[in-house]
Amino acid sequence: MKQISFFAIALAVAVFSSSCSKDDDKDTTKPVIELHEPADGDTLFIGYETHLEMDLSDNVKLKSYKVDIHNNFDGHGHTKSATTDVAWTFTKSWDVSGLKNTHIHHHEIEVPTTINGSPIAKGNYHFMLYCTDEAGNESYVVKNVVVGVGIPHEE
Amino acid sequence: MKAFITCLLLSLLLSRGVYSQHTYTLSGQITEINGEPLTGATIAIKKTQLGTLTNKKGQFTIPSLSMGKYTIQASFIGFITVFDTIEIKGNCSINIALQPNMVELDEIVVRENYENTRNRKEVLSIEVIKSDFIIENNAGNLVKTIEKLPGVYSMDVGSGFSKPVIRGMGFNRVAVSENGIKQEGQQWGADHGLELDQFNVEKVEVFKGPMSLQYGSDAIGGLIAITPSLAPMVNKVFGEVSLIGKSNNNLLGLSAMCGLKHNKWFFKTRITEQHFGDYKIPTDTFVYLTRPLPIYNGKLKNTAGYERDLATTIGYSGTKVNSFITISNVYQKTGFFPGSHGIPDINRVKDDGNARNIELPNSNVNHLKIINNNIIKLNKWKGFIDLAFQNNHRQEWAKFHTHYGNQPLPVSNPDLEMDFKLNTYTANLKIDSQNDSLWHHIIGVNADYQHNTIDGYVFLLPEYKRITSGAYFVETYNLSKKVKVTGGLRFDVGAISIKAFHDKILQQYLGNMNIYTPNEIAFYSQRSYGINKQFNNLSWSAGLVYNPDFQQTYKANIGRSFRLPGANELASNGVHHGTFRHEQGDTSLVSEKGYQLDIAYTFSNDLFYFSINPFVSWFSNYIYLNPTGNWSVLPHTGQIYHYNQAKALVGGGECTINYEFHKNFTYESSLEYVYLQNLTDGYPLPFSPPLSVLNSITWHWHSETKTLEEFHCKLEHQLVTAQERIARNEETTNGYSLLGISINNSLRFGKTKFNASFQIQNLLNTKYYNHLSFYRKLNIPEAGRNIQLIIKIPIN
Repeated sequence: MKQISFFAIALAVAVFSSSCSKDDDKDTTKPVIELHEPADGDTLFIGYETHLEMDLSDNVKLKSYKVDIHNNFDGHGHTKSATTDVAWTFTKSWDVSGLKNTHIHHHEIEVPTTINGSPIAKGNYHFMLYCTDEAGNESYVVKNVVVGVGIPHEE
Repeated sequence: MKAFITCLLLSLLLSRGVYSQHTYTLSGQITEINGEPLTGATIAIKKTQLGTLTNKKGQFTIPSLSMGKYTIQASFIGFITVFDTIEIKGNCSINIALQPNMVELDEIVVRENYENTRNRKEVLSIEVIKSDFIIENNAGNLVKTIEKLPGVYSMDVGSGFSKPVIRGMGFNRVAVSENGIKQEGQQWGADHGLELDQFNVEKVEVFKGPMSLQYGSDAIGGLIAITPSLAPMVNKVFGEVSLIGKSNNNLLGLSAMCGLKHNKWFFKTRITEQHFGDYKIPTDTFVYLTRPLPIYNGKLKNTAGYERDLATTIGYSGTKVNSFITISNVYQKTGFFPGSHGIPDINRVKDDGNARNIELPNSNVNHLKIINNNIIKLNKWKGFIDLAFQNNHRQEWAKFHTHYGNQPLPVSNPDLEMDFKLNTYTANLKIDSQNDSLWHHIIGVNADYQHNTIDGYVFLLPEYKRITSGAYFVETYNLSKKVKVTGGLRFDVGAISIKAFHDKILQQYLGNMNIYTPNEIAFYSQRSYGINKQFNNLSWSAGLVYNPDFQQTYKANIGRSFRLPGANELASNGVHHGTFRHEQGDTSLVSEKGYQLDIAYTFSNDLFYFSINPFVSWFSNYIYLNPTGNWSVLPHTGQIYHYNQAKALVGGGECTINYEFHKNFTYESSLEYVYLQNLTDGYPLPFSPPLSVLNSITWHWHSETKTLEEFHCKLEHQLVTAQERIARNEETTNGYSLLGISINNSLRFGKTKFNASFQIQNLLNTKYYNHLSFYRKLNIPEAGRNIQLIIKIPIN
């Protein structure tokens, strides 16, 4: 029985010494996005620049953010619109590398009136904002927005 | 308690029936030819109800025999049954030696100590379970049921279907074989379950560790081997009906089997059907992307489904040749929670007023297998020839949707999102020497041919053809009665040919945006890279098993295994519909290679069982998805994930204690732990299962004479710790603890014995998350309380 317990203890130590070895403090914390504008239900006005305002932060260092706007016409998937109007898609990224936190405020997203000569399709769109940190952790938020006609309020 | 004491008294009274006649005792020992005792062998006296099982030392005692001539029958699984005539004139003792029979297992499979005997012979760490375990622990599907085994985990896709994980290795790193044929479906997908009928499974062996030696690619992390049910020994007609009901998802199921054994011929057929509704989760909201979303009536919308399975075996057992043909078909259809396909929003998760309908999105999978197993007996050698054809047809349906405004509605089947047809042809040939006292030789070759074709409006996995073949030998040498060493070598050649796919719609869409360079457009619209690639692999394994006495077993095994990269890992490029990630394959990937060292110690006596089983593995080039930090320009995607190869370390183990502290009570405890680490980038590998401890107390008793012949009542507690070791872009998962109760009864009415299994899973309706589940990433908790009843009635 002595022999057994010795063997068992040796094995148990072998198992749990591997499990107790300290992990390197590798960064798996995602950046935090606090998107103020646009908000859910906001309208992006055709022919105008959209107001983007947000705070980005990370426990280590941020890297980049990306805005992705695409249609959400049927509220389910992304079925093709019935009209000849063309669905608008916007993709652009900005560099914020080296910063730990930053306040972003700009008007660089312009909603065009036409795409290759055809009028832009009005309706429901998804406004997605992605952000990465230097380690490759990624987070994103989605806002349901409307692309429509009108004049934006002055901020 | 009063009832319990009454029952006890009754059983005592009944079992001590009045025998005034003068009787004698027959005792003895059953051993192997080489003298090693056989534990749990059956000794029966024909034309009487008398019989028993041998104990740890192979000994048995049959009391209460009156004077006369009897025929005795000694049998053990895997051995040739011996019949002998004895005359009882007084107390008498006999010794019986059984010869191994590698082929025909008799029907009396349900036996306490078979697992132990198997364990003592196998060099690798192995868990053996049989149909009674599956009934008692039934958790919806085979994988979820065997999750109770230490070192085995299940990756769940809703309530109906799951895929297996062994010691942190899942997807294509675990092989599942049935009747010696490796099952080939779309194992790479997180939402693809295993297509098997759990009612048609009589015995499962789980090998924890590299099994490439006999199974080639994919068995790098382990093997779940489902062994065939074999013919009964005597001519008869037999059958069985099982009924199952579950409260959580209102599941109703029926499985019926009938068979015939007549001289050399054997026939068996089984049909299984199960229908279930949406499953209940103990919450009314879930939070996804900071947005709270409602769960109506506590039911996860559109997770209903059904399963319809059929299997037929026809067999011939001659003196020189055994041949079996098994045709099986498994069909599974299940809905997906609409929030899991696309961004969840309030409109999509709204109650549709029906908990049993299967709407879009959904998946349906059909797996057809035709397997022919042959055994040819030639003096001291046996030849095994296994031939198989499998067709796995997987479809995913979702309302037509596209991010590319220029993509037209498909003309036929507009809502067919994806369609994979995978045909696999397999031929295995093996020659096995009969187990003489010293040497055991196995030599074999395998060949597989696969052809995958695709359809649907979403591109994910390319079409490909793959051929693999390997040759191996395994030598086992009995150094002494106590020590056995085994070693083997295998060489494999594999070739894969992947068809390129250039997406013209995507090319036009990106071109229309007028902002991308021709190079960028070419990169994104190349959805798969056309390549022809060849892989050579060497596998080996060496181990020993040492049984110093009847109670202890020591094992050590070291092996090298491999896995061919999958077509998705090599050649896909684009958005994965399920993860919303841009995943990019790499045509330069080489075979994944792993080395594993596994050590085991087992102690067991009549009352106490203890085992500890640590292991460590090292991979020279583990394939994983690495976040590149570069944005994809495709809509609804973040950064590009690239298939990289890294050095990886996996370690951990299992420990089990089983103690019968009172003749009616058993305590059982098992612990499982696995540590997965990417050594190249320093992060944990994804899908690391958390530490789990399972404790249970079983109240059991057995009576030969009462209607309630067998009674087991188990109270079980599972503790799972939090998983904070995550890869980038995984979520940490909190720990939890679950309570469960199961009551299993065997009732006898005359000659008919039937089983009733009653279970309450998640007794306290605890809200918890399984780190490995498909719906985990949506923050959807696991199923709530479930009350379940299974009744199994044999028909003879």
